[in-house]
Amino acid sequence: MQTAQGSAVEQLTADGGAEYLTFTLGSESYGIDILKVQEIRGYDCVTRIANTPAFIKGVINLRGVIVPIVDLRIKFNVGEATYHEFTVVIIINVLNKVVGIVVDGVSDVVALPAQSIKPAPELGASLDTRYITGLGTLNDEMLILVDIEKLIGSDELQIVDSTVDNTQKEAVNL
Amino acid sequence: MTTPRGENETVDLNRFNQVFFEECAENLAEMEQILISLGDREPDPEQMNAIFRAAHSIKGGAGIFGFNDMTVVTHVMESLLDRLRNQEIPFAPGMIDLFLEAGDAIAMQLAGHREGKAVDQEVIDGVRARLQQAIDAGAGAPAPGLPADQEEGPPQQEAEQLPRRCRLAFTPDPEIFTRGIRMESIVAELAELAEPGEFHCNAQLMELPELAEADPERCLTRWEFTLLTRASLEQILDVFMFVADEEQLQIEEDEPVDRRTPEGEPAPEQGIVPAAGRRVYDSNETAPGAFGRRGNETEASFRVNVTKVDQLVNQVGELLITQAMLSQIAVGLDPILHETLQRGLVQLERNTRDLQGSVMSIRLVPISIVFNRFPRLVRDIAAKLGKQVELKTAGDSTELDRGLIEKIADPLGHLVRNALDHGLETPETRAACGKSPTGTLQLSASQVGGRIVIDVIDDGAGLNRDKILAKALECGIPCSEAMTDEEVWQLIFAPGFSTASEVTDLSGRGVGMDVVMKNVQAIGGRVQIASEAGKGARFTISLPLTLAILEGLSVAVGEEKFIIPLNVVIESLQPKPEQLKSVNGRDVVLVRGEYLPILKLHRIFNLEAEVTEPQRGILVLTEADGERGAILVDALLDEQQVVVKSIETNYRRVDGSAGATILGDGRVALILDLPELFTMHKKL
Amino acid sequence: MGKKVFVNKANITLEGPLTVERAKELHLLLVERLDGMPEQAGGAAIDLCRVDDIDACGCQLLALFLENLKRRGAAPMLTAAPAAVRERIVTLGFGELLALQPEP
Repeated sequence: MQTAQGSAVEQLTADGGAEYLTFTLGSESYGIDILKVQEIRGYDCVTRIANTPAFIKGVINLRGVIVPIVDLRIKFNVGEATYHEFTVVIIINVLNKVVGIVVDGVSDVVALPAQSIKPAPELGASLDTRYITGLGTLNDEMLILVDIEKLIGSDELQIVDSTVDNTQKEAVNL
Repeated sequence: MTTPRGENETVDLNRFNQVFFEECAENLAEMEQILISLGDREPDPEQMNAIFRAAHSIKGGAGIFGFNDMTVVTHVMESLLDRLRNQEIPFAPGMIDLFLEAGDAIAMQLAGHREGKAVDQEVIDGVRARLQQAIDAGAGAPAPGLPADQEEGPPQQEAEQLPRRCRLAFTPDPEIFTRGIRMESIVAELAELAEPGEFHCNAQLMELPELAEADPERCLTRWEFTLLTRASLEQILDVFMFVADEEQLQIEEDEPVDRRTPEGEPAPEQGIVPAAGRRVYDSNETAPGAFGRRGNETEASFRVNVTKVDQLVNQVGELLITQAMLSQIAVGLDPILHETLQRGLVQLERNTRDLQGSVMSIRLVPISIVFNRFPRLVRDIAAKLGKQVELKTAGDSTELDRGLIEKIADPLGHLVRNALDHGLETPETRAACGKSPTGTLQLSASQVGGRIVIDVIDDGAGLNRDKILAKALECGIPCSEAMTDEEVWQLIFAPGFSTASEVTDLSGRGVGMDVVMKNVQAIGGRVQIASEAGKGARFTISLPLTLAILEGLSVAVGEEKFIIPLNVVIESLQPKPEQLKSVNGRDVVLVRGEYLPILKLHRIFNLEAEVTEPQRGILVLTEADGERGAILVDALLDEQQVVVKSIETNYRRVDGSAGATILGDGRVALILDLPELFTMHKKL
Repeated sequence: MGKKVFVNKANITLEGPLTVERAKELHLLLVERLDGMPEQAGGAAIDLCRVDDIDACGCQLLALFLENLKRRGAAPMLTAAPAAVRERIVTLGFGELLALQPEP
């Protein structure tokens, strides 16, 4: 079901372009499909989880739902992983999961027509090409469009546990 | 009402199909239960009617919702049952098995529609052919009773069978067309209940809007049926079982008429009878008992979507958190200045708890729902294996969380199969050992403290220590002769372990006991084994009472807070220096003559703790699964009820935690899983 | 569907299944036909010979169409219904509303 959803959305963006939420990680600008973004909030009250990679900051309580927080700055080794009142968390909703990602800053929401999106070459971005759907141009600046669903679902981030099937998850999901 | 439709349409349809699926599954279960209870006895008229009704309801529902394949077997089955019921065909003991098989075939078709599982058409055709055979064979045999369409029925049914005139007015739900309901099936079914040629159906439009303004999918039609019938009110209402959910269905019944009465001359009217049958209720009637699935059911109940209940549970959980938050804020207030507020908060706490209790009880269902599946399973397997088994159950009314019931059925089934296959011996072997040739398998459930305990006990050969060790060695599972019996028994839960020398289609289907363990653990349960050679074995599953709320002790370790489930806590203490020892480099604490390992949470969870030395902190003594340990924490905070939240909803499983909760200050705290912590501690 | 030209303004031939799955499409078609109906059309014949299935929703739509035609002064008539369709209409109790002509 998840793949079906994914491909449907891909098709949509491929055909007609879409709106992107742009954010910065270090010196690079990134964009993610606005439809995958649930909300943007500040960074606070993160409960640490033991024995996880450093970029998993822990979990937060988002109105009664427990949501993991990933610091992409640490994951991709860019910017400075400091936490203060201006630290921004983008709450993403993909793959039936709600996940918060910490970035350097959120810039804007932009609409990119499909024809202005170029395929991603093998480039030296911090992000692996696998997670890049294309490159957009915005005010003469390059915008790297991220396949956030693929990134969140990747083994690299270790958010989605591929070994546990869904039925077991439901058991404690009350 | 011109709501935009589109993709929701199919979803809606599925939702209504769901009602049919559930009803169908229930009918199948009911039928099976009756059939199993019969053994090989002939069903009494009441049981026969119940079986017939179940088959009939499935057929009717399948027709209405367009699952025509499902009507095929049910139709023949219904015909056979009808003839049996009317004593046109003599009962034969083999029919019970045939009906059971037919039930399986229907269940397979149901699963096909519901879950997209494969349907073996050969099986369906086979069952159908044999049902037909039974009808044909029976028709040839001298029938003890009278043909069905003869005017007079058996004497005891005479009163019921006198035809009477019924007038029904059916005002359907405006969405009936888009619900996928086939009106023509309903009409046809109703017509079947009528005496030949004594059925009339008339449709009327309730509104006559301008065509351009009409919603073509919205039903504006009202139907009136007039029929001369011998069917009971319940039979008539059954026709509308899936369609008259909230709609008014009005029935007028006349006094039974003698067929000699000139037609069309109405007998004195009895007035309007509100349709009080299953799934139908009169909206004006709000008195208790007005709702009900079956007229004769004393405790009224109605069907609620599970997600609605879950939503309620979640909301109560949120309320509990809010209440805890308010209480926490109030602690800092002057109790004299804010006396009324404090009193209000106490009241709020009490009300919240009461509400929580009531809501949680909605989710509780008796374990008999699961136990009831086993007579059939045991009967079938025992027959296949040539074993004689008596199944006993105890504690059938023990209630547990609905979510748990669903998850426990498979592991339990596996244990039952395992006991039959590997535990119980053949009658000959048993006799040779001086045991009764019939083995006993007992399923019992009870509530012990905060947990539900389910035992699967057999009086078979027991577990064979040498065989298990040899097998474990063969499968490459680490083991040694020095292991205690308990440790050896646990080996059978290791992935890849199977003792069956040949793979049988019963318990050795490649899935081993490890799946049982995994499934039970997934719902916070444990499996323990006790066994005595030659006497039998006992598998004990212990489960938490509910998955949603937990009594916990909140503790602080550095910046973090954790919840220790209260049911594992024995006591807490500040250890005196002389109590603390070191054994093999591991810290232990001496409590009443027993050395307990000290689990340092900050080390297990890699935390910055204020207290790293046991003598300066607090030890919480715990016991879980027969293992004891002392957990070192900085401070004890509070005893409280916490709402268990899943971390896995949005993240992966976290080692050492059995979920998480949200504390009064809005932060997330992990709930500790003690047995897992013990394991993690040993690996440190 | 392109722009339709109705050759015969008074007679209407319906095709295929008249069922809930096609209710919207049929509704549009019938509304179009209704608008294109000349006033005082007299006897409008609705030819059902090419209809292969009908359900309660289709019956209701037809009944509503007939009522609307009558309101415009027409005297509509269903003709040439195949036996199965006719039988279904009767079964569903729409025999009177749809004023089925007795079988020849």
